[in-house]
Amino acid sequence: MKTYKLMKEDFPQFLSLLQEKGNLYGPVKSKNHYSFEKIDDLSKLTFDYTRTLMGLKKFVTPPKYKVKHFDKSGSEDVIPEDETNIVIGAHPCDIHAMKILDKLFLGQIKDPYYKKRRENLVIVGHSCLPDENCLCTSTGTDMVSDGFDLFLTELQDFYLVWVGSSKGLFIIMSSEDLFNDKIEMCDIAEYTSWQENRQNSFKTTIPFHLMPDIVHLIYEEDELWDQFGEKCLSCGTCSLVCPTCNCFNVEDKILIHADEVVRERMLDSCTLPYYSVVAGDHDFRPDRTKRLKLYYTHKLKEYIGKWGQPACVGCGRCVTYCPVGINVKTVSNAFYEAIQCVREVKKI
Amino acid sequence: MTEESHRRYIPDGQDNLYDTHKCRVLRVYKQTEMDKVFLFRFVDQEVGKNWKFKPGQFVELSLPGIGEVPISICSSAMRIGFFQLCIRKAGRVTTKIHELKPGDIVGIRGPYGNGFPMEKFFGRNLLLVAAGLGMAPLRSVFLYAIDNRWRFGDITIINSAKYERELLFARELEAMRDIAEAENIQIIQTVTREDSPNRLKGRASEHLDKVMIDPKNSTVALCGPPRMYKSMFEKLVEMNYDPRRIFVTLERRMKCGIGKCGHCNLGNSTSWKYACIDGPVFDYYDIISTPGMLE
Repeated sequence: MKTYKLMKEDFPQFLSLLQEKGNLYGPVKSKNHYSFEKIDDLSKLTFDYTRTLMGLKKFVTPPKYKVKHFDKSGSEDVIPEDETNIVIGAHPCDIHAMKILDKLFLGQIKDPYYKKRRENLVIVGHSCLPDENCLCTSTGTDMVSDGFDLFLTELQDFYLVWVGSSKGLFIIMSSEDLFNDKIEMCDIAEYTSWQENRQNSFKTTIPFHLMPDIVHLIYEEDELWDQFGEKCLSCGTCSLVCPTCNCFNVEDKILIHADEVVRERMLDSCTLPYYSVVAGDHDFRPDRTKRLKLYYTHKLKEYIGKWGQPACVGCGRCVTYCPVGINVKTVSNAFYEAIQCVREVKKI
Repeated sequence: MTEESHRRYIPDGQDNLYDTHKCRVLRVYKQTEMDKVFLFRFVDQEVGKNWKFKPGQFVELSLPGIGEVPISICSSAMRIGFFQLCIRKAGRVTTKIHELKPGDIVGIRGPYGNGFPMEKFFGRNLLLVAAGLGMAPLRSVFLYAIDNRWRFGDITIINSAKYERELLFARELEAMRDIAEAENIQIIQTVTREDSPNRLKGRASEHLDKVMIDPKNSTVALCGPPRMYKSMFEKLVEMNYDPRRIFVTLERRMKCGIGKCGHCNLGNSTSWKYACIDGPVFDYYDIISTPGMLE
């Protein structure tokens, strides 16, 4: 991996360089949250944020998009055109989430819509400092070594720029005078000290390494799950904000003049009531507890079997946005505490 | 345990797996008040020639503007270029499908799902137990077995439904009875909730003692409501059928058919399955190790 230094005074120039290369998206504050938005005015960009409402998934599996278009002559795919979308400001957890989505959509069976959007996307990561909801040290996703095109670590006077792909290198090479590949020992010292400070500023940890086995073994303990099932509003917020949730629904829409039809794909959530309903109105998961079980066992355990790692990247979005406090932190802690109680009583 | 090769079906070929092939409805015939059987042929005969499926697989039938539905293929996998679907009027899309007339064109993509591992059935007796709409995928297995009669031992098929009027393919099976008997194929048709002059009464599991095939060296394929599976398993194991050779096929909400959309997921933790690519045919081991499969 090639690494460069980018001085802070050159950063605006770097941003304009990115703007030349494609559509620039970055974190923008809107009301009470941040989100990745298209940047026309560079002054709106802010990097002092912990998490956006939705992660990078909005670029590759947008909340709603057309997949097919039918008219009298036949059907055609609606695949986005070749264009470069550059998103700056993605945090390590977002990049890890993207790697997980890639495994699912670009694995053995490839999804053409995802593939095109992913090919169009250039990810420029940005270092972050945690708040009390960040769980990424527990999930092991606080550092990232691949999956991005460029990654910026913000230090005192300069950015350390890590190049993760040829796309990233190409951007650097097109304006080489901005970058310096001479990394001095004092730079390394500054980086190490910053990284250690960051590691020490994590306030929350959860027993995440045990969770896969716990959710598996505790599957039948209904009263533990019910405490969450009873509270759950089945609103689907957790799935909407989770950067690795990717279930989708497909619906056909007849346009108003009735000659044309679009087939749309939209994000879906396994916590929504109709999720497992089949024809004849049989519901395989009629109650909220069952759907929450599905959500958490899928996220925390099943992904390991299928893709080698859990699908939680510790971004803390569910912790921040669930209106009734059902999230990977409270669920993990509740299960772990229940087990601790038994251990205390039985002296295990 | 089944081998890995049979566990998952990876569709291939096309660039875009969501692309449909145009198929023309050739014939529509009514099975029961709620069910119609549709005969489809590929508009592009080249596609039809190369389009093959296995018994137990399904297709996604697409009606632009209405939606897509997963439907099991109910004709024999030995016939090339056309296929049949038995469709119950149960929801929005299927209601619209029931309005199709010969000559209409629909979109078909697939086949999806792992299907029954027919090569494992070869050289053994075959017991097929269908309840209700479960007869549709099992008809595909049954007709395949008849087309490849020399590969199988004795064959018994049990077809059951709540009422006589809901018994699928009843006339067809009745008409086959003479030929079947000559080929050592036993046909049992039973109705659970009413007395019907030509049928047995009671659930399929109550008539297992009438099955003439030898339980040792037999394979069993079941299709029906999950409730039936539980009672069937107990009975079958009691009767010395080998649990490793009991296969069931499940219904789930399969929206994409290729393991992306997540709706058809089953079970928890490591024994997690997508019904569309890991199933819909599962064996006894899967059923035991995957909680929630028989809900």
